[in-house]
Amino acid sequence: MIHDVPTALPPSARRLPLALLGVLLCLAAPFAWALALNVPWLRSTGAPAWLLLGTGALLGLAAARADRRRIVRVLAWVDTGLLLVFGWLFFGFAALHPQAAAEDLARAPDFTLPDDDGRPVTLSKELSHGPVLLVFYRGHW
Amino acid sequence: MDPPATSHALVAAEDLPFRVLSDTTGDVIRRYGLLHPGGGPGGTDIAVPAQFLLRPDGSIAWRHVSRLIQDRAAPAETLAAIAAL
Repeated sequence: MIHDVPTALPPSARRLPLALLGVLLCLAAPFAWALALNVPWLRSTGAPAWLLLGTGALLGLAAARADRRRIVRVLAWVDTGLLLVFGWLFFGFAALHPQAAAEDLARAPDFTLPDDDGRPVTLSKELSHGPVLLVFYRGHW
Repeated sequence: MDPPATSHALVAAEDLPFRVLSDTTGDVIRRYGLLHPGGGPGGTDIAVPAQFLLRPDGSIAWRHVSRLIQDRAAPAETLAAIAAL
């Protein structure tokens, strides 16, 4: 007579280390991006973070397919959650939407604005002394 | 869009060697297509970070306009653009 006894997962099917590696890669993603901020295309695309998050999530899902234990499945969900949070940060929260003029302007519109002492500064007058680097920043807070 | 007094404190604290201008109404920010409505503290309007390198004739030799809060031109990029003028 054969009894259907629940057996422990054979060691060959255990994937907890793989699942942990997946989470580790996902958590490392923002740091990888921060390290690449000096490289323009890595900075603007977030490629280092996407690569680590994608790899981490794939490892997590592969682990959960082979090893159905709750902890492994939870870790796969954690990977997916981190990927979604980063996607929201990247495309939602942190996304800026400059208007077309920012890229389309061929010449800099002239203006007069007060400096920090309240003295008026006129762009065309500054340009008569040479090139100008005009920096727009988000303010001081 | 800080008022001059805020900039004055910043210039003094950081000993800035360049001039910091104030566009409190956002008129210039708008003309350059850089308004970020509600992006500042307390939902105030601020500017999208950007840099324009201008030739003496007013033409734009190089620019960097941020698409992400974290996306700023690295100093080396700006310096390279200045060197290439």
